[in-house]
Amino acid sequence: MMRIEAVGESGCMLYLGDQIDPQTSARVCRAGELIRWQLGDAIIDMVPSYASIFMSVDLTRGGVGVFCQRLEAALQDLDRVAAAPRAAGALVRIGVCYAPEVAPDMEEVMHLTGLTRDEIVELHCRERYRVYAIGFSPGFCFMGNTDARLRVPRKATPRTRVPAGSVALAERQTAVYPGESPGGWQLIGRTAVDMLALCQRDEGALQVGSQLCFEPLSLADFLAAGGQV
Amino acid sequence: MVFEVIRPGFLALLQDYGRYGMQHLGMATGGPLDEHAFVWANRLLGNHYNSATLEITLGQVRLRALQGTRIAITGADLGACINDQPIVPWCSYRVEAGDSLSFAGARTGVRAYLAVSGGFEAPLRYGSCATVVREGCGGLHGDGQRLQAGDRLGMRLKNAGQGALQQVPPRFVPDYGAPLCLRLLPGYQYDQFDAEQLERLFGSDYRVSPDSDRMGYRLAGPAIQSGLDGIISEGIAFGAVQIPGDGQPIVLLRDRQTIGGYPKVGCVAALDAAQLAQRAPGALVRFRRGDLREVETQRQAFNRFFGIGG
Repeated sequence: MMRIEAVGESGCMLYLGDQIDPQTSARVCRAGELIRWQLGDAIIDMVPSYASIFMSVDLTRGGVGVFCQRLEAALQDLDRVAAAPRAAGALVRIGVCYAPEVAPDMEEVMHLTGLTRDEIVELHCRERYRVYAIGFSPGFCFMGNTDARLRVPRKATPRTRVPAGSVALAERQTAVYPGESPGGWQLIGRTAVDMLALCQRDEGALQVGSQLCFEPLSLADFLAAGGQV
Repeated sequence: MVFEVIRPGFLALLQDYGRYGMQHLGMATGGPLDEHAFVWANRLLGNHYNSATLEITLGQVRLRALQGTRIAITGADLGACINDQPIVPWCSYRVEAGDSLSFAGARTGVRAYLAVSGGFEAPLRYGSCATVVREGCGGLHGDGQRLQAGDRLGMRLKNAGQGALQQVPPRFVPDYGAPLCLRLLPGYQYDQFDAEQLERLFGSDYRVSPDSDRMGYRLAGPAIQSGLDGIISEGIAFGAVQIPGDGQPIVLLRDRQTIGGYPKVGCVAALDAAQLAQRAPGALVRFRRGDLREVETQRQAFNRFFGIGG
Protein backbone atom coordinates (compact mmCIF):
# COMPACT_ATOMS: atom_id res chain seq x y z
CA MET A 1 0.00 0.00 0.00
CA MET A 2 1.17 3.50 -0.79
CA ARG A 3 -0.84 6.72 -0.71
CA ILE A 4 0.49 10.25 -1.18
CA GLU A 5 -1.65 13.23 -0.19
CA ALA A 6 -1.22 16.95 0.28
CA VAL A 7 -2.01 18.19 3.79
CA GLY A 8 -2.53 21.90 4.02
CA GLU A 9 -0.75 24.05 1.45
CA SER A 10 2.74 23.07 2.47
CA GLY A 11 2.60 19.52 3.79
CA CYS A 12 2.51 16.03 2.39
CA MET A 13 1.53 12.69 3.95
CA LEU A 14 2.90 9.42 2.71
CA TYR A 15 0.95 6.39 3.96
CA LEU A 16 2.74 3.05 3.71
CA GLY A 17 0.41 0.73 5.58
CA ASP A 18 -2.35 0.43 8.14
CA GLN A 19 -0.73 -1.89 10.68
CA ILE A 20 1.74 -1.51 13.51
CA ASP A 21 4.32 -4.16 12.62
CA PRO A 22 8.04 -4.40 11.86
CA GLN A 23 7.44 -4.90 8.11
CA THR A 24 5.51 -1.64 7.76
CA SER A 25 8.03 0.16 9.94
CA ALA A 26 10.89 -1.14 7.79
CA ARG A 27 9.12 0.24 4.71
CA VAL A 28 8.82 3.60 6.46
CA CYS A 29 12.58 3.58 7.10
CA ARG A 30 13.39 2.57 3.54
CA ALA A 31 11.12 5.28 2.13
CA GLY A 32 12.65 7.81 4.51
CA GLU A 33 16.12 7.06 3.20
CA LEU A 34 15.02 7.33 -0.43
CA ILE A 35 13.26 10.61 0.28
CA ARG A 36 16.22 12.14 2.12
CA TRP A 37 18.48 11.07 -0.72
CA GLN A 38 16.34 12.31 -3.60
CA LEU A 39 14.16 15.09 -2.17
CA GLY A 40 15.99 16.19 0.96
CA ASP A 41 16.58 19.71 -0.33
CA ALA A 42 12.84 20.28 -0.83
CA ILE A 43 11.86 19.26 2.71
CA ILE A 44 11.89 21.43 5.84
CA ASP A 45 10.77 18.79 8.32
CA MET A 46 10.13 15.08 8.05
CA VAL A 47 8.21 13.13 10.70
CA PRO A 48 8.27 9.35 10.23
CA SER A 49 5.84 7.36 12.35
CA TYR A 50 4.46 3.80 12.58
CA ALA A 51 3.05 3.58 9.07
CA SER A 52 3.44 7.02 7.55
CA ILE A 53 5.77 9.93 6.94
CA PHE A 54 4.71 13.56 7.23
CA MET A 55 6.77 16.07 5.29
CA SER A 56 6.75 19.82 5.55
CA VAL A 57 7.64 21.13 2.10
CA ASP A 58 9.84 24.08 1.15
CA LEU A 59 7.52 26.11 -1.09
CA THR A 60 10.34 28.14 -2.66
CA ARG A 61 11.03 25.01 -4.72
CA GLY A 62 7.55 24.65 -6.15
CA GLY A 63 4.09 23.85 -4.89
CA VAL A 64 2.99 20.88 -2.88
CA GLY A 65 1.31 19.27 -5.92
CA VAL A 66 4.62 19.22 -7.75
CA PHE A 67 6.29 17.79 -4.64
CA CYS A 68 3.75 14.95 -4.43
CA GLN A 69 4.52 14.01 -8.06
CA ARG A 70 8.26 14.03 -7.40
CA LEU A 71 7.68 11.90 -4.32
CA GLU A 72 5.71 9.33 -6.26
CA ALA A 73 8.50 9.07 -8.81
CA ALA A 74 11.16 8.81 -6.11
CA LEU A 75 9.33 5.90 -4.45
CA GLN A 76 8.56 3.91 -7.60
CA ASP A 77 11.12 1.27 -6.73
CA LEU A 78 10.53 1.32 -2.97
CA ASP A 79 9.77 -2.38 -2.68
CA ARG A 80 12.52 -3.44 -5.06
CA VAL A 81 15.46 -1.73 -3.39
CA ALA A 82 17.27 -3.24 -0.44
CA ALA A 83 17.61 -1.15 2.69
CA ALA A 84 20.83 0.82 2.67
CA PRO A 85 23.29 -0.23 5.34
CA ARG A 86 22.97 2.20 8.19
CA ALA A 87 25.00 3.18 11.17
CA ALA A 88 21.85 3.06 13.28
CA GLY A 89 21.60 -0.67 12.73
CA ALA A 90 23.62 -1.36 15.86
CA LEU A 91 21.72 -2.40 18.97
CA VAL A 92 21.44 0.40 21.54
CA ARG A 93 21.62 -0.84 25.15
CA ILE A 94 19.96 1.15 27.91
CA GLY A 95 20.75 0.40 31.54
CA VAL A 96 17.60 0.48 33.70
CA CYS A 97 17.20 0.39 37.46
CA TYR A 98 14.01 -1.49 38.44
CA ALA A 99 14.40 -0.90 42.21
CA PRO A 100 11.25 0.07 44.18
CA GLU A 101 12.63 3.59 44.76
CA VAL A 102 12.36 4.36 41.02
CA ALA A 103 9.52 2.00 39.96
CA PRO A 104 6.32 3.55 41.36
CA ASP A 105 3.97 1.37 39.30
CA MET A 106 5.80 -1.96 39.67
CA GLU A 107 3.33 -3.21 42.30
CA GLU A 108 0.39 -2.31 40.04
CA VAL A 109 2.01 -3.99 37.03
CA MET A 110 2.68 -7.12 39.15
CA HIS A 111 -0.97 -7.10 40.13
CA LEU A 112 -2.19 -6.52 36.55
CA THR A 113 0.03 -9.17 34.96
CA GLY A 114 0.20 -11.71 37.76
CA LEU A 115 3.98 -11.78 37.37
CA THR A 116 6.69 -11.31 39.98
CA ARG A 117 9.07 -8.37 39.90
CA ASP A 118 11.90 -10.61 38.64
CA GLU A 119 9.73 -12.03 35.88
CA ILE A 120 8.73 -8.55 34.73
CA VAL A 121 12.36 -7.40 34.64
CA GLU A 122 13.38 -10.55 32.81
CA LEU A 123 10.64 -10.21 30.17
CA HIS A 124 11.29 -6.49 29.72
CA CYS A 125 15.03 -7.02 29.22
CA ARG A 126 14.74 -10.11 27.02
CA GLU A 127 13.15 -8.42 24.01
CA ARG A 128 14.78 -6.36 21.30
CA TYR A 129 12.58 -3.36 20.66
CA ARG A 130 12.08 -1.39 17.51
CA VAL A 131 11.63 2.39 17.63
CA TYR A 132 8.33 2.87 15.79
CA ALA A 133 7.94 6.60 16.26
CA ILE A 134 9.48 9.55 18.07
CA GLY A 135 7.18 12.24 19.42
CA PHE A 136 4.87 13.21 22.30
CA SER A 137 7.86 15.08 23.75
CA PRO A 138 11.44 15.61 22.49
CA GLY A 139 13.28 12.29 22.37
CA PHE A 140 10.26 10.16 23.43
CA CYS A 141 10.63 6.87 21.50
CA PHE A 142 7.59 4.63 21.10
CA MET A 143 9.02 1.10 21.15
CA GLY A 144 7.48 -2.29 20.54
CA ASN A 145 6.52 -4.91 20.84
CA THR A 146 6.66 -5.95 24.45
CA ASP A 147 6.01 -9.57 25.43
CA ALA A 148 2.26 -10.21 25.44
CA ARG A 149 2.45 -11.07 29.16
CA LEU A 150 3.60 -7.49 29.90
CA ARG A 151 0.56 -5.93 28.31
CA VAL A 152 -0.95 -3.35 30.69
CA PRO A 153 -3.41 -0.49 30.15
CA ARG A 154 -2.46 3.15 30.61
CA LYS A 155 -3.28 4.60 34.02
CA ALA A 156 -6.88 5.76 34.36
CA THR A 157 -5.63 9.10 35.68
CA PRO A 158 -2.38 10.26 34.09
CA ARG A 159 0.33 11.61 36.39
CA THR A 160 0.91 15.34 36.14
CA ARG A 161 4.65 14.80 36.68
CA VAL A 162 6.58 11.79 35.45
CA PRO A 163 10.27 11.99 36.45
CA ALA A 164 12.87 12.25 33.68
CA GLY A 165 14.32 8.87 32.71
CA SER A 166 11.22 6.90 33.74
CA VAL A 167 10.91 3.59 31.89
CA ALA A 168 7.29 2.80 31.16
CA LEU A 169 4.79 0.32 29.73
CA ALA A 170 1.47 0.84 27.96
CA GLU A 171 -0.36 -1.80 25.92
CA ARG A 172 2.28 -3.64 23.88
CA GLN A 173 4.65 -0.65 23.94
CA THR A 174 7.50 0.55 26.11
CA ALA A 175 9.21 3.94 26.32
CA VAL A 176 11.53 6.18 28.30
CA TYR A 177 10.31 9.65 29.34
CA PRO A 178 13.33 11.78 28.30
CA GLY A 179 12.41 14.78 30.45
CA GLU A 180 9.92 15.44 33.21
CA SER A 181 6.43 15.65 31.75
CA PRO A 182 2.85 14.60 32.39
CA GLY A 183 2.13 11.03 31.36
CA GLY A 184 -0.20 8.06 31.74
CA TRP A 185 2.10 5.08 31.21
CA GLN A 186 2.98 2.58 33.95
CA LEU A 187 6.42 3.32 35.42
CA ILE A 188 8.53 0.22 36.13
CA GLY A 189 12.05 1.65 36.33
CA ARG A 190 14.37 4.51 35.54
CA THR A 191 17.47 5.15 33.44
CA ALA A 192 20.24 7.72 33.72
CA VAL A 193 20.65 7.75 29.91
CA ASP A 194 19.82 11.01 28.09
CA MET A 195 17.48 9.78 25.37
CA LEU A 196 17.25 13.10 23.52
CA ALA A 197 21.07 13.19 23.30
CA LEU A 198 21.01 9.64 21.87
CA CYS A 199 18.59 10.85 19.20
CA GLN A 200 20.97 13.62 18.21
CA ARG A 201 24.27 11.78 17.87
CA ASP A 202 26.06 12.33 14.58
CA GLU A 203 26.78 8.63 14.22
CA GLY A 204 24.40 5.88 15.16
CA ALA A 205 21.68 8.19 16.39
CA LEU A 206 18.55 6.65 17.83
CA GLN A 207 15.86 7.07 15.18
CA VAL A 208 12.72 5.46 13.83
CA GLY A 209 13.73 1.90 12.94
CA SER A 210 16.54 1.67 15.50
CA GLN A 211 16.87 -1.46 17.66
CA LEU A 212 17.08 -1.08 21.39
CA CYS A 213 17.21 -3.28 24.48
CA PHE A 214 17.22 -2.77 28.25
CA GLU A 215 19.70 -4.14 30.78
CA PRO A 216 19.05 -4.32 34.52
CA LEU A 217 21.13 -2.03 36.66
CA SER A 218 21.48 -2.07 40.45
CA LEU A 219 20.41 1.01 42.36
CA ALA A 220 24.07 1.69 43.24
CA ASP A 221 25.14 1.50 39.57
CA PHE A 222 22.17 3.66 38.54
CA LEU A 223 23.17 6.34 41.06
CA ALA A 224 26.83 6.08 40.02
CA ALA A 225 25.74 6.68 36.41
CA GLY A 226 24.13 9.94 37.48
CA GLY A 227 20.60 8.65 38.05
CA GLN A 228 18.26 10.50 40.39
CA VAL A 229 15.93 8.88 42.91
CA MET B 1 20.69 46.11 26.44
CA VAL B 2 17.62 47.75 25.00
CA PHE B 3 14.75 46.98 27.41
CA GLU B 4 14.33 46.00 31.02
CA VAL B 5 11.18 44.09 31.90
CA ILE B 6 9.33 45.91 34.69
CA ARG B 7 6.13 43.84 34.44
CA PRO B 8 6.12 40.63 32.36
CA GLY B 9 2.32 40.53 32.08
CA PHE B 10 0.17 37.52 31.33
CA LEU B 11 2.50 35.85 28.81
CA ALA B 12 5.39 37.43 26.92
CA LEU B 13 7.56 35.12 24.81
CA LEU B 14 10.53 35.67 22.55
CA GLN B 15 9.75 34.15 19.17
CA ASP B 16 11.63 33.99 15.91
CA TYR B 17 10.11 32.33 12.84
CA GLY B 18 10.41 28.92 14.51
CA ARG B 19 12.56 25.85 15.03
CA TYR B 20 12.69 23.78 11.85
CA GLY B 21 14.30 20.48 10.98
CA MET B 22 13.81 19.09 14.51
CA GLN B 23 10.30 17.63 14.41
CA HIS B 24 11.64 14.12 13.83
CA LEU B 25 13.03 14.37 17.40
CA GLY B 26 9.60 15.25 18.69
CA MET B 27 10.34 18.97 19.02
CA ALA B 28 7.62 21.50 18.31
CA THR B 29 8.49 24.31 15.91
CA GLY B 30 7.29 27.09 18.24
CA GLY B 31 7.35 30.49 16.56
CA PRO B 32 4.75 33.22 16.24
CA LEU B 33 1.13 32.16 16.58
CA ASP B 34 0.15 34.99 14.23
CA GLU B 35 2.70 34.76 11.45
CA HIS B 36 1.14 37.64 9.49
CA ALA B 37 1.54 40.18 12.28
CA PHE B 38 5.01 38.82 13.14
CA VAL B 39 6.50 39.24 9.67
CA TRP B 40 5.01 42.73 9.34
CA ALA B 41 6.65 43.81 12.62
CA ASN B 42 10.04 42.83 11.24
CA ARG B 43 9.35 44.30 7.83
CA LEU B 44 8.48 47.72 9.30
CA LEU B 45 12.07 47.87 10.58
CA GLY B 46 13.74 46.34 7.56
CA ASN B 47 14.65 43.26 9.63
CA HIS B 48 15.20 39.77 8.27
CA TYR B 49 11.90 37.85 8.49
CA ASN B 50 13.40 35.42 11.02
CA SER B 51 14.40 38.12 13.55
CA ALA B 52 13.34 37.55 17.15
CA THR B 53 10.35 39.58 18.36
CA LEU B 54 8.34 39.60 21.55
CA GLU B 55 4.93 37.95 21.38
CA ILE B 56 2.78 39.66 24.00
CA THR B 57 -0.46 37.89 24.90
CA LEU B 58 -3.25 40.06 26.39
CA GLY B 59 -0.96 42.80 27.75
CA GLN B 60 -0.25 43.90 31.34
CA VAL B 61 3.36 44.40 30.22
CA ARG B 62 5.68 47.30 31.08
CA LEU B 63 9.18 47.71 29.68
CA ARG B 64 11.78 50.42 30.27
CA ALA B 65 14.04 51.44 27.39
CA LEU B 66 17.75 51.39 28.26
CA GLN B 67 18.88 52.89 24.97
CA GLY B 68 17.40 54.61 21.96
CA THR B 69 16.14 52.49 19.08
CA ARG B 70 13.31 52.01 16.62
CA ILE B 71 10.54 49.59 17.49
CA ALA B 72 7.52 48.26 15.62
CA ILE B 73 4.25 47.01 17.04
CA THR B 74 1.80 44.87 15.08
CA GLY B 75 -1.04 42.45 15.76
CA ALA B 76 -3.54 42.96 18.55
CA ASP B 77 -4.32 46.43 19.90
CA LEU B 78 -3.27 45.93 23.52
CA GLY B 79 -3.47 49.60 24.43
CA ALA B 80 0.23 50.28 23.87
CA CYS B 81 1.70 53.51 25.24
CA ILE B 82 5.09 55.19 25.12
CA ASN B 83 5.47 57.19 28.35
CA ASP B 84 1.74 56.67 28.91
CA GLN B 85 0.87 58.32 25.58
CA PRO B 86 -1.27 55.95 23.48
CA ILE B 87 0.21 54.67 20.23
CA VAL B 88 -1.48 52.61 17.54
CA PRO B 89 -0.25 49.24 16.31
CA TRP B 90 0.99 48.46 12.77
CA CYS B 91 3.53 51.32 12.94
CA SER B 92 7.16 51.82 13.86
CA TYR B 93 8.23 54.31 16.52
CA ARG B 94 11.34 55.71 18.14
CA VAL B 95 12.04 55.20 21.82
CA GLU B 96 14.80 56.87 23.85
CA ALA B 97 16.68 55.67 26.90
CA GLY B 98 14.42 56.03 29.94
CA ASP B 99 11.16 55.79 28.00
CA SER B 100 8.53 53.40 29.25
CA LEU B 101 6.65 51.15 26.86
CA SER B 102 3.49 49.58 28.20
CA PHE B 103 0.67 47.35 27.00
CA ALA B 104 -2.47 47.75 29.11
CA GLY B 105 -4.89 45.08 27.90
CA ALA B 106 -6.62 43.66 24.85
CA ARG B 107 -8.95 45.94 22.87
CA THR B 108 -8.99 43.96 19.64
CA GLY B 109 -7.08 40.75 19.06
CA VAL B 110 -5.08 38.73 21.55
CA ARG B 111 -1.39 38.87 20.62
CA ALA B 112 0.83 41.83 19.84
CA TYR B 113 4.31 41.61 18.32
CA LEU B 114 7.04 43.98 19.43
CA ALA B 115 10.09 44.12 17.19
CA VAL B 116 13.29 46.15 17.54
CA SER B 117 15.76 47.17 14.87
CA GLY B 118 17.79 44.10 13.95
CA GLY B 119 15.79 41.85 16.27
CA PHE B 120 16.16 40.86 19.91
CA GLU B 121 19.21 38.93 20.97
CA ALA B 122 18.74 35.44 22.37
CA PRO B 123 20.73 32.21 22.44
CA LEU B 124 19.89 29.70 19.75
CA ARG B 125 18.65 26.26 20.75
CA TYR B 126 18.63 23.85 17.84
CA GLY B 127 19.00 26.78 15.48
CA SER B 128 16.22 28.96 16.87
CA CYS B 129 15.32 31.09 19.88
CA ALA B 130 11.58 30.34 19.60
CA THR B 131 10.19 29.78 23.11
CA VAL B 132 8.35 26.51 23.73
CA VAL B 133 7.53 26.62 27.45
CA ARG B 134 6.34 22.99 27.61
CA GLU B 135 9.66 21.74 26.23
CA GLY B 136 11.83 24.07 28.31
CA CYS B 137 13.43 25.27 25.11
CA GLY B 138 14.28 28.68 23.65
CA GLY B 139 13.67 32.19 24.92
CA LEU B 140 15.94 34.75 26.54
CA HIS B 141 17.90 32.21 28.59
CA GLY B 142 17.41 29.21 26.31
CA ASP B 143 15.39 27.32 28.93
CA GLY B 144 11.90 27.96 27.62
CA GLN B 145 10.91 30.45 30.31
CA ARG B 146 8.50 33.27 29.60
CA LEU B 147 9.81 36.78 30.30
CA GLN B 148 10.23 37.61 33.97
CA ALA B 149 10.42 40.93 35.79
CA GLY B 150 14.04 42.10 35.80
CA ASP B 151 14.94 40.36 32.52
CA ARG B 152 17.04 42.53 30.22
CA LEU B 153 16.57 42.20 26.50
CA GLY B 154 19.46 42.88 24.18
CA MET B 155 19.27 43.70 20.51
CA ARG B 156 21.43 42.33 17.77
CA LEU B 157 22.31 45.70 16.22
CA LYS B 158 24.15 47.99 18.58
CA ASN B 159 23.27 51.23 16.87
CA ALA B 160 20.10 51.02 14.85
CA GLY B 161 18.21 54.12 15.71
CA GLN B 162 18.19 55.61 12.24
CA GLY B 163 15.69 55.02 9.46
CA ALA B 164 12.30 56.40 8.58
CA LEU B 165 9.27 55.43 10.63
CA GLN B 166 6.86 53.25 8.71
CA GLN B 167 3.25 52.19 8.76
CA VAL B 168 1.60 49.05 7.39
CA PRO B 169 -0.75 49.99 4.51
CA PRO B 170 -4.30 49.80 5.91
CA ARG B 171 -5.41 47.17 3.41
CA PHE B 172 -3.01 44.68 5.06
CA VAL B 173 -4.29 45.36 8.58
CA PRO B 174 -6.82 42.66 9.53
CA ASP B 175 -9.99 43.30 11.50
CA TYR B 176 -9.70 40.82 14.37
CA GLY B 177 -13.24 41.66 15.46
CA ALA B 178 -14.81 40.37 12.25
CA PRO B 179 -16.36 36.89 12.12
CA LEU B 180 -13.73 34.48 10.82
CA CYS B 181 -14.19 31.93 8.06
CA LEU B 182 -11.41 29.34 7.99
CA ARG B 183 -10.55 27.69 4.69
CA LEU B 184 -10.30 23.97 5.40
CA LEU B 185 -8.22 21.93 2.98
CA PRO B 186 -9.54 18.36 3.10
CA GLY B 187 -6.88 15.84 4.13
CA TYR B 188 -5.85 13.11 6.56
CA GLN B 189 -9.04 11.15 7.51
CA TYR B 190 -11.42 13.51 5.67
CA ASP B 191 -12.90 10.62 3.66
CA GLN B 192 -13.82 8.79 6.87
CA PHE B 193 -16.32 11.51 7.80
CA ASP B 194 -19.69 10.98 6.14
CA ALA B 195 -21.55 13.67 4.20
CA GLU B 196 -23.85 14.52 7.07
CA GLN B 197 -20.95 15.16 9.47
CA LEU B 198 -19.13 17.31 6.92
CA GLU B 199 -22.30 19.27 6.21
CA ARG B 200 -22.55 19.99 9.91
CA LEU B 201 -18.90 21.06 10.09
CA PHE B 202 -19.20 23.44 7.14
CA GLY B 203 -22.68 24.66 8.03
CA SER B 204 -22.34 25.45 11.73
CA ASP B 205 -21.12 28.28 13.91
CA TYR B 206 -18.29 27.47 16.31
CA ARG B 207 -16.98 29.55 19.14
CA VAL B 208 -13.42 29.79 20.42
CA SER B 209 -13.17 27.94 23.73
CA PRO B 210 -11.33 29.40 26.76
CA ASP B 211 -9.06 26.30 26.73
CA SER B 212 -7.27 27.55 23.63
CA ASP B 213 -3.52 28.10 23.82
CA ARG B 214 -0.32 27.95 21.78
CA MET B 215 -0.75 24.19 21.25
CA GLY B 216 -4.17 24.46 19.76
CA TYR B 217 -7.41 26.40 19.49
CA ARG B 218 -10.39 24.46 20.78
CA LEU B 219 -13.72 25.24 19.15
CA ALA B 220 -17.12 24.63 20.68
CA GLY B 221 -20.21 23.86 18.60
CA PRO B 222 -22.12 21.00 16.98
CA ALA B 223 -20.16 17.76 17.47
CA ILE B 224 -18.64 15.98 14.48
CA GLN B 225 -18.18 12.20 14.52
CA SER B 226 -15.72 10.30 12.35
CA GLY B 227 -16.71 6.80 13.30
CA LEU B 228 -13.04 6.16 14.07
CA ASP B 229 -11.91 5.34 17.62
CA GLY B 230 -8.42 6.48 16.88
CA ILE B 231 -5.82 6.13 14.19
CA ILE B 232 -2.23 4.96 14.06
CA SER B 233 -0.28 7.96 15.36
CA GLU B 234 1.02 10.14 12.54
CA GLY B 235 2.73 13.49 11.93
CA ILE B 236 0.58 16.56 12.52
CA ALA B 237 0.75 19.60 10.21
CA PHE B 238 0.34 23.20 11.37
CA GLY B 239 -3.36 24.03 11.19
CA ALA B 240 -4.51 20.40 11.27
CA VAL B 241 -8.09 20.06 12.54
CA GLN B 242 -8.28 17.26 15.05
CA ILE B 243 -11.64 15.73 15.97
CA PRO B 244 -11.40 13.97 19.35
CA GLY B 245 -14.05 11.71 20.81
CA ASP B 246 -16.26 14.57 22.00
CA GLY B 247 -16.53 15.83 18.40
CA GLN B 248 -15.32 19.36 19.18
CA PRO B 249 -12.69 20.47 16.62
CA ILE B 250 -9.21 21.53 17.73
CA VAL B 251 -7.06 23.55 15.32
CA LEU B 252 -3.45 22.62 16.10
CA LEU B 253 -0.93 25.43 16.18
CA ARG B 254 2.77 26.14 16.76
CA ASP B 255 3.35 24.29 20.04
CA ARG B 256 1.37 21.20 18.97
CA GLN B 257 2.74 17.71 19.52
CA THR B 258 4.58 16.40 16.47
CA ILE B 259 2.57 13.15 16.26
CA GLY B 260 -0.84 12.12 17.47
CA GLY B 261 -3.55 9.50 17.19
CA TYR B 262 -6.81 11.42 16.94
CA PRO B 263 -8.63 11.60 13.58
CA LYS B 264 -8.16 14.80 11.59
CA VAL B 265 -10.52 16.19 8.97
CA GLY B 266 -7.89 18.28 7.16
CA CYS B 267 -5.89 21.43 7.59
CA VAL B 268 -6.82 25.07 7.88
CA ALA B 269 -4.85 27.36 5.54
CA ALA B 270 -1.83 28.52 7.57
CA LEU B 271 -2.58 32.22 7.14
CA ASP B 272 -6.18 31.63 8.28
CA ALA B 273 -4.87 29.81 11.37
CA ALA B 274 -2.77 32.92 12.08
CA GLN B 275 -5.99 34.99 12.10
CA LEU B 276 -7.66 32.44 14.38
CA ALA B 277 -4.85 32.99 16.91
CA GLN B 278 -6.06 36.60 17.32
CA ARG B 279 -9.57 35.52 18.37
CA ALA B 280 -10.50 35.63 22.03
CA PRO B 281 -12.71 33.01 23.72
CA GLY B 282 -16.28 33.31 22.51
CA ALA B 283 -15.37 34.62 19.03
CA LEU B 284 -17.38 33.24 16.13
CA VAL B 285 -15.65 30.92 13.67
CA ARG B 286 -16.92 29.02 10.64
CA PHE B 287 -15.29 26.60 8.21
CA ARG B 288 -15.52 26.58 4.44
CA ARG B 289 -13.96 24.23 1.98
CA GLY B 290 -10.69 25.73 0.74
CA ASP B 291 -9.17 25.39 -2.69
CA LEU B 292 -5.60 24.09 -2.52
CA ARG B 293 -4.48 25.94 -5.65
CA GLU B 294 -5.81 29.25 -4.37
CA VAL B 295 -4.32 28.85 -0.89
CA GLU B 296 -0.98 27.68 -2.27
CA THR B 297 -0.74 30.63 -4.68
CA GLN B 298 -1.57 33.08 -1.88
CA ARG B 299 1.01 31.46 0.36
CA GLN B 300 3.75 31.61 -2.26
CA ALA B 301 3.03 35.30 -2.92
CA PHE B 302 3.17 35.97 0.84
CA ASN B 303 6.49 34.11 1.17
CA ARG B 304 7.97 36.02 -1.78
CA PHE B 305 6.84 39.40 -0.44
CA PHE B 306 8.38 38.81 2.98
CA GLY B 307 11.42 36.94 1.67
CA ILE B 308 10.45 33.81 3.63
CA GLY B 309 12.58 30.76 2.89
CA GLY B 310 14.67 32.66 0.34
